[in-house]
Amino acid sequence: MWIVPALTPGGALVLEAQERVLYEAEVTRVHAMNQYRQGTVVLTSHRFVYIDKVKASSQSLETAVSGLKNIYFIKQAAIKQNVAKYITEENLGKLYVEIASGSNEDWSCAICFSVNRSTLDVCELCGVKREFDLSDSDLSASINLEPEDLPWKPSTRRGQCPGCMHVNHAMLRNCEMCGTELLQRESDYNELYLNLEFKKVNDCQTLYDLLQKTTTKPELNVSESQSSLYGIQKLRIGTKSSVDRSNELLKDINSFQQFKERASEISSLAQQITSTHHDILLGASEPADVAKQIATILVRDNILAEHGGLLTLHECFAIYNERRAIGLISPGLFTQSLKLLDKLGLPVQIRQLESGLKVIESRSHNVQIRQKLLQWIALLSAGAGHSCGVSARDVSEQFKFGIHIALEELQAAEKDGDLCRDEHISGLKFFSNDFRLFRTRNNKISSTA
Amino acid sequence: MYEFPPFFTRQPNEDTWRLQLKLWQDVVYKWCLANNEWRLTPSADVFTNKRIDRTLNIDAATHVLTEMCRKGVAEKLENNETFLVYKHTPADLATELRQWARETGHETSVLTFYELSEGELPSLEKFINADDITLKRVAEVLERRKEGVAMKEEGECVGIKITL
Repeated sequence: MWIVPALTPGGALVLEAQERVLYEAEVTRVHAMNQYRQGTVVLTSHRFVYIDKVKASSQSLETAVSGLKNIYFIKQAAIKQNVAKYITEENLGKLYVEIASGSNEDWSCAICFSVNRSTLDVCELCGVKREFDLSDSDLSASINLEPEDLPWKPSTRRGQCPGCMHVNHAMLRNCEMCGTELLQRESDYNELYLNLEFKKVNDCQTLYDLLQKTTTKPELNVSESQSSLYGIQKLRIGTKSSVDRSNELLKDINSFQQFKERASEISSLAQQITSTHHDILLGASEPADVAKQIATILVRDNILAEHGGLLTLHECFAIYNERRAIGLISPGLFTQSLKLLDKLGLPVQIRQLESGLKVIESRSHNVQIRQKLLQWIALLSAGAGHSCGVSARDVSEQFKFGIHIALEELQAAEKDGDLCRDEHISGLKFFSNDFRLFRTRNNKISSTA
Repeated sequence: MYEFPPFFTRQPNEDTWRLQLKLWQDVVYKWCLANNEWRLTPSADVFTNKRIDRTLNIDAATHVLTEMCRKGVAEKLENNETFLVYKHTPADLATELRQWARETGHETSVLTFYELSEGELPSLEKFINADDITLKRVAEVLERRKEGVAMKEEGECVGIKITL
């Protein structure tokens, strides 16, 4: 698993070093205690992030830079002496970082009590700056065993009496001067610190320098942060922006009114167009109504005539839905309504062709088509001076049939003996059935002979 | 007819196909007569019209020839796909031969196939150049009608004897 920290707005990447990190922290805070872990340290202008190499989701650490304090750069020699058992490489650099207690927790704003994330310095809701309750953490500060020769002094001595400030021995439970109960060990668990160990001393040095810089320049951080304004200044700016906003709103309203005018123009144009062309069919959702509308379109608008008197059902479906434009009907409703054509006595009917293909046609149309077809073929043959064949495509072009219907018609005519076929590589063509002519001629010959 | 493209496609309509079949038989016979070629295969030239680039497929051609066999105007030769088309049907020939024999007093006489096909007998033009197989069929027809007997030599039919 690999987690890449996203920058908070206004944050900037200061340093990224992929190094070895040693966690030395209390159990309650960090799961891995006294264990070597490997990971990446990322320092941004606001946050200090450690991403564990193995368990990035559970073992990683994120804290605000402002929460870091007491950063120590431990010289190589010192490490060698004291933490020798952890060290395998010679030139390690080591960094000791204390993290202020509570800095890694969500905090609640002192003014509005809204709960903010630990990385935010300013309340999200009211913009009031976070108050670090450092005194508490100072009070409960480190009772950790620190090596005597480390070059720092903890800010508060372990075992110091909260009443009389006398420094007691670490193991005592009560103050030996005034008898006040000394702080319990549990309270010490608030303290969190990191031991960062780097493979290269240089990295360690740079991180140390950068940490020093970022933590000692809090004003810079604040100016960079997301909502840097608070108090009266913020209110002032707030009113200014609200005036701006109302101005913009006015502008928007004006443009919206213009848009409305345009829209009414367009709608009137659309009405003109629809009235000059076809009525847009609306509303019908009952099969009977749909059936009536279908019949009306097909007959009144000469749709059937345009398609050679025959329409396949899917063509009809497409045409009808095209006319409806909105609120299209389902194929189910369409077939339902077609069943009502006969019942309602409408001028169109459904006919099933040889192959099972259903077509819709005008009631008076059935016989005419065959005659027209045969006449056309005869005409072609007469014009060419010899027998002429026609393909389904020719027929569909001539009579504006769908190609399936054309083929169906041709086959039906063939079945009735009006046509005969010629199968060839160039395609299937239909001829008028001249076999009958030849037969009559032969009969004549044989009868005369 | 021969220039009519659908003529070379087996018509799916049964009525039309029957007409087409008759016409084809006619065409085949005339073609045989014109080319003086009486043995045909279903892929013979007669079934292809190069001018209009059409060929009757082998199935349909076989159908035509088989139909001719059924009508007794052709015969399928054994062991191959070749058909023999009779110029004159054996039945016709048998009748004619019988009549000729009666008219010319050749009854009870033996007529060899050689004599018949070489035209050595007068007024029997139909037998000239006749196929041995055709003559054999004539003999068989006469035998069936009990008007003649096939004369055999070494198991091969070589002549006909017309009986009373």
